[in-house]
Amino acid sequence: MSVSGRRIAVTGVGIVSALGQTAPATFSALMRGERGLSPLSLFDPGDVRSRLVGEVKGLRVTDVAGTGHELSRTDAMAVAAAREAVKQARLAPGARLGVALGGTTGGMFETEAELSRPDLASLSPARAEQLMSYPLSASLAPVAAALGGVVVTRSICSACSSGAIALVQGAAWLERGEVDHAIVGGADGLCRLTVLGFNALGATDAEPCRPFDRARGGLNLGEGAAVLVLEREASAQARGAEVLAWLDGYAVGAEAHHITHPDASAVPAAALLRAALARAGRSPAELGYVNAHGTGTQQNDAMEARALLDVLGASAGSVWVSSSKAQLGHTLGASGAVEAAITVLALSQGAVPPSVGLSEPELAGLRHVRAPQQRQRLDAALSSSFGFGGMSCVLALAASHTRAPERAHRARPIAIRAAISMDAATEPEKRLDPERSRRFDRASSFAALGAELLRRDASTGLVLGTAFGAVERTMAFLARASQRGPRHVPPAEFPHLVPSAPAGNASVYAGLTGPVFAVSDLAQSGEAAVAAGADLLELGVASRIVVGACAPRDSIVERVLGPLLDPGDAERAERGEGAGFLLLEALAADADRSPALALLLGHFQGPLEVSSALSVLPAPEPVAERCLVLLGASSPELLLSLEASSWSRVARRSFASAGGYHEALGAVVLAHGAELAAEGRGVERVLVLSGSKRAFSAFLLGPSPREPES
Amino acid sequence: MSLAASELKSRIKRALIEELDLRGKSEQDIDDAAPLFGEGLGLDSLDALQLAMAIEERFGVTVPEGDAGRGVFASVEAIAEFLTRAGAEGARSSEGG
Repeated sequence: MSVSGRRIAVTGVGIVSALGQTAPATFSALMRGERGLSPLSLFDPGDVRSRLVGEVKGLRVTDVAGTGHELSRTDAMAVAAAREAVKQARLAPGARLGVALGGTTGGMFETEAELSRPDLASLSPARAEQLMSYPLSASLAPVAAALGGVVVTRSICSACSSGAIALVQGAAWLERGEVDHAIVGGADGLCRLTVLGFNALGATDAEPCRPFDRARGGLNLGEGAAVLVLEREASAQARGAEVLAWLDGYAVGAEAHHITHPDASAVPAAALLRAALARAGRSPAELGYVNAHGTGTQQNDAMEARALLDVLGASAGSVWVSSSKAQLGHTLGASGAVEAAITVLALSQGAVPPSVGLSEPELAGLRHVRAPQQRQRLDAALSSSFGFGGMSCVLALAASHTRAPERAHRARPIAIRAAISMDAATEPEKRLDPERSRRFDRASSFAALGAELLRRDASTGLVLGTAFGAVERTMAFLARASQRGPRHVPPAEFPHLVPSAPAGNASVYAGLTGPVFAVSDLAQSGEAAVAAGADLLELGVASRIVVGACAPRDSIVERVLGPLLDPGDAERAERGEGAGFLLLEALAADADRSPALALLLGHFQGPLEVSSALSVLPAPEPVAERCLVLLGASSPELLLSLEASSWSRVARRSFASAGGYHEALGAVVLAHGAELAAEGRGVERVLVLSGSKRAFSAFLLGPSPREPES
Repeated sequence: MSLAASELKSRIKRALIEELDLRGKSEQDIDDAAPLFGEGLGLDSLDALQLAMAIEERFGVTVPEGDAGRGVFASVEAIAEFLTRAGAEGARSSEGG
């Protein structure tokens, strides 16, 4: 298939960083070699090794009409970056937008003091309102309200590669034709949790950090946001939009090595860099620049330099390499998007930002950027992100003057190969190897067991839905820090507090090296995970992915956050423990006949009205008797839309009050639907619906291809 | 071996099991002289950080950072020697007081 017109263009960029609150301000300061590092002023962290951070000062926290609460700093940065990017792209009114944002801590800064109070029951309405910004997915609503026209959203966490994976999600929506523009990026604000956590890990440098230097002493934390506008080449051409750069390739994968340490062999990182180049149809010789992850820690930089030397090979001497973290600090969940935006600006301006503070590289052979380089002819560039838990993403970008690479992409049908549901009686801990599951909480244990039972081979990925992450465990960590001081917080606990930790733990435990990350959409988190996994399979960045969600007991979620944040999905707020997982697989084009439960014929998950979602998933005509609607919710909005759709006369079964599994229920119901659609049961179509006023999901299942007669 | 020395090693082993989540391991499973990291118990540098914090908490001592601290955690015996030299608060309960 020709890719003409299908190439993905970047037509807008917005950045909020310690160096400036717009993309031009940030990039020109980077090109002057300035550092945005200063002593932490947002809060007093106590006795920590380093207070030097990249803080966004004078942030204008504005309310956005329609969100009903004051924005957190994370959300305010996301809104500002999105507005800047969209303004630059000059979007046409009426365009269908998708918003994907990566992050790790959401509104933690504004809510951590409140949530770690011992008495949570006496919440004033004003305090309760503040808690609305806690979950990772909180940024989506204000960004959607600020932009208008948003039909699909996704909140992504893969630790420090979150913002990069958001770009891949955007590319998937464009590939599916689900949106006209993908508004993608990441945002992460500084908070006590990350300052205390990285301090406990001994990962911070009290001096300004020196990525790739022999004498580097760790990282400096930072905060910020970046948002990019992506669209099809044909769309940019039709409306005469300026193309800043092309997003030609991407690779998402996990190391399956350790929850904090990168694989020192650099083999997984090198493989991912090569995969992104291959997807972009480029050779290392065509690269002009790599914006490296380059955190300044001993382990990351040694591993990354080795991977780059290996991949660049004979071209290593001609490809500029720099890390922006010495100037901006490590913006964690935002960094993948911030650095992708910087790479776009480097390509569009022919200007390469430096690695400030680098005096003696540890490894010889790379062309480090010692001083800013102007007037460079750059054709192609990589931006790489290697996160905790080995969750990584590499983006391949190209300058606007380059021609489309040769690549063939064909959408492949998606099968549900296997499905599994679990509840508290499963006792996942007892079925895991005790040594390899040390420190796993219930969520990690469910995820590891599900991953191990469903994985086919090492290339399998894992997309896990989580509404809030481990709130109780996080607040216990913070309470201990405030009672005993920063030196007394347990270092090994911190890596388990990022929302993607269960996904990372499961990947290490079960040896999954495909795309591994978490998605978050309150009670719809399980459905969001299934949709995100299916999107990535259709995009062709993986062949098989385990998707689903697990809902462990968490008293703060049950008593406070769940009822407060998701009243529309009240029937899911009564929580039991549970988990549901599916193995999704992209079938080979030559009609793979190996056994599958069902085909996933269509899917939708997001804030669009369910009637619009149902109009693209029509019931077969005439409505066959052998169709079934499975309801994972019973909200009036859902039922009214169903009545008005072509599915109104189809038999229904409701699971809305059956499981009480909260964010895992969607995956549990889908697992059930897949069993019903399994070949030989006589069911031709199963529509799995859930949602409320806030977000809906719809999945259409059909029988899998039959085994050939022999 | 004096009663005090064996009691100290026993407390160190309890700290290891509890702080490092060594599920299913008992004090008898941990050899006094066996290396804790790499081979042996198979602990890693994240465990080393956790152990340093736990030893400081439970025994009221300060563990040197970086290379100087590395030898301290070579084995249960090495930790016991360090604690004896550092004049650890022998009377403190294993729950950290």
